[in-house]
Amino acid sequence: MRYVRKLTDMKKKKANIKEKPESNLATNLSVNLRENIEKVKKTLGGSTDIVIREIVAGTDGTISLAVIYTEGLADKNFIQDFIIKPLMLTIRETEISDQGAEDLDTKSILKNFALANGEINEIGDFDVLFQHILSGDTVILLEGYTKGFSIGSKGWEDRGINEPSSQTVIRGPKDGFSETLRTNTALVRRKIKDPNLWIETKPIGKKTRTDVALIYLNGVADDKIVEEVRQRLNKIDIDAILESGYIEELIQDKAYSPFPTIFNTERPDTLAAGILEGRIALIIDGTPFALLVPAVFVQFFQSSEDYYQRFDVSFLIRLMRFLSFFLALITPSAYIAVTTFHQEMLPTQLLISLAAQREGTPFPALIEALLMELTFEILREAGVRMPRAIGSAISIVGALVLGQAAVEAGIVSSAMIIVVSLTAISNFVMPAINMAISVRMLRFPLMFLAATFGLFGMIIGLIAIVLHLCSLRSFGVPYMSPMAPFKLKDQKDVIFRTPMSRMFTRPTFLKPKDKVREKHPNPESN
Amino acid sequence: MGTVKLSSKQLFSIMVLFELGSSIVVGLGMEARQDAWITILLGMSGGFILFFIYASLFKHYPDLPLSEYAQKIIGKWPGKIIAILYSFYFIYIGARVLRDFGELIVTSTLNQTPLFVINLLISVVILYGGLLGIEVIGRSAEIFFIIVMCLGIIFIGLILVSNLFHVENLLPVLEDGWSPVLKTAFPLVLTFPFGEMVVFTMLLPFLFEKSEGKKTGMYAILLSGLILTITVIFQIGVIGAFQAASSTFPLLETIGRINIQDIIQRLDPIAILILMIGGFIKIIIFLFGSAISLSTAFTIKRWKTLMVIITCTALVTSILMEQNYLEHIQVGLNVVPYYIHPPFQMGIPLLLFLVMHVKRWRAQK
Repeated sequence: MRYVRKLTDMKKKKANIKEKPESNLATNLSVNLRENIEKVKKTLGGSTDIVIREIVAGTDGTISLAVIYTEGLADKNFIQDFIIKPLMLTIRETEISDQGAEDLDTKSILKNFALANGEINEIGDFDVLFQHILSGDTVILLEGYTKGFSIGSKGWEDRGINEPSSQTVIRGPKDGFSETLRTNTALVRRKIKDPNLWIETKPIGKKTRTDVALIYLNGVADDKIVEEVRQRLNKIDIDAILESGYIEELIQDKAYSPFPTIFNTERPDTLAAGILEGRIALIIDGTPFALLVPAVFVQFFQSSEDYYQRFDVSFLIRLMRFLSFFLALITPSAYIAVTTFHQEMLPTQLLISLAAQREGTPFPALIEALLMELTFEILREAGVRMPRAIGSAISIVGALVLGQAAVEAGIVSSAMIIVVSLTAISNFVMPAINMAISVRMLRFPLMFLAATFGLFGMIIGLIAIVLHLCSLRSFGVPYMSPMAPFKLKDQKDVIFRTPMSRMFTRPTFLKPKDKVREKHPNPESN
Repeated sequence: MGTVKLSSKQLFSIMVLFELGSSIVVGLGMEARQDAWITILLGMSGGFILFFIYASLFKHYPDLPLSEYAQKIIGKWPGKIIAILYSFYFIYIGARVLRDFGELIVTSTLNQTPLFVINLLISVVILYGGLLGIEVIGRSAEIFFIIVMCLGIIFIGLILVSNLFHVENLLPVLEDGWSPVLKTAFPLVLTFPFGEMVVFTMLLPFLFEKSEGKKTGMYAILLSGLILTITVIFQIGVIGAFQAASSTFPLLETIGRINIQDIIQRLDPIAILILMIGGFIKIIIFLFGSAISLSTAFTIKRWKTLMVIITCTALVTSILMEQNYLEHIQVGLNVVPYYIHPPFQMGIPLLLFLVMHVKRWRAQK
């Protein structure tokens, strides 16, 4: 009973929180223009970036109105040329009665004859009014009317379409997403010119009102997954969404996992490819990183370039990525295990040279490895945060001072330096940075297991990792598909990539409604 | 639990890994010396017959585990007693496998580590898998299956390349006639590992395609039997029948002999890795069998609590069951195959099978 009471209490509290802002803003516009302007000013606290321009328009100056916009978000030239100019000049110059509109009211006249704009909406209450102003639209309020207009005038400074800084390719399109939602959806639209590419937009975040666009290919994407994504987005009740990472953490299946279950990309071509396979894309306003769900494990090993290079090249490169994944994961722990517990596995010559190196070092292999791994992690983190100008300093400190000096001082063996460098470089091979980070994390528990139990401890750790991977799901799709559950048909694009001319179907684990990608040239010979 | 489903591929992977599990580590059928491989083939054919009984019981009750249809066939309380007996049996055998692996690790690599610590570590992973559920184990088994098969093929290739295999070790065939071969095959090889398939009477109801149950099991027995035969042939071919029989872990010794240009050598720690995977699947399936048997017979809903209790019981049993490894082996060779395996693997299923058919025959009349 106590629990039930607690729950109902919580519900009540939630309801209270919701009611508050609504009661403040959901009021309708007043007939009195002055009153409306005062209210706008008061609600925005007289913020200096809000421009309120009051105009007296009409041939005899009887129409008094106000133009409101946010400086910086709205396109100033556009407002001047297409809103203020017609209101002040055109209306005064032309006799409206000439156009046979005597019986129309001022509002319709303005709307129909004065404002030559594409996007125009009527607004009735303050809630909508503030939404429009603060997202860059221009609002016009009229004396004597409880309705105003908003005119689409969004135009802020944009970074433009640049080459993506992560996930770079040698061959392939060089355009990347930017921070503006519309630019990003346009980039996707430009890749897929199909009427079935559907885009749903919805503002999320009570304070930020960030637009989140849900993009999918109708007739290909599984309806159940689309509905699931929609529901999870609807459940979000948060004040702010500043980056797609917020959405990612709010809609992912399992919070406590080192592995990412949602794919993110800065590249329109990767996103388009995902959508074409039957995945669902989420583009969030204000960030160049778009999300792609459902994501599976192998997806993080695929780069868009795999499909632009010839298939044999990309097969070998992909194989190398899997190899470096394992190297990054197990090299330090394998080194510890072999040198501490299983020296017999090493060739005699190598064993002697390793033993000679380790002769002078004071620490056991684990401490040595931890020391160097941690140093490297610190160096890397410093490299990311530090101003670019002093970038070369860190390489000198890292490579010469720490690396070479540590060996010469006899604190670590040079074999350990090789192990740490190999691990680090292998980690950078991963095309998806979030998968590389999870490997970085998992390396440390494996090192401890290897130091305590040797290879046996490592295999216990690896079994646990495989179990964990198999337990994950991304929007209902098992994370390890198409390897577990194994689907032979989908193996064409996992470790191998078959030639384009053999990719007949979409991956079946995504349950696409339209399975066929490519018509079979000769159906009998399948 | 009701919605948990396994595909036939997953069940197949589980079954093969389960069969290979601990049987590939110990020298299977080595009492028959160089004819060990024949005993395995014989044991396998016996395994087909046993699985036929389990599969035909499953065919009549496709949605129920043995613990539940036992109640339908021979009455409520006798059925429940059988369910309890089975759950203890599975815990005991699971604990035996756990002990096998603990001893394997202690003898081969970690001589200084206490057995309890090793078993505890294995149990922790098993508990983790147990809490994640049978569906996750099914999916993991698919990945493990691929890994084990690839590494197995690599090892065979390496043995052949290092020119260690001597066919003459396998001769003479049937030196002392059929009797030692038959004595080893029945009941030793039949009950371990083939008869242990009885645990799948608890797991078959989770199968997605019910009609595939029998076929999957038969193919799994066939594949694992052939793999075991090949393994034993390689063990005898590489280290000779005498040493294979006297060695504690002949497979490790065989793989330890691999030496290519002094660079690739002493791969036995890596072989242990593969064996661990099979052992892990085997123990966890036994514990699952036990948990399913108890939970269905007494409608226990708290699967996770049950799994924790069962895993802890198995851990404690594995430590306390015998004083040392020699005793463990002696019990494993002379007690378990004669007094513990037969009633559970053959007796009870056969009884249920006969009673069911008599009942049906009566009902028809």
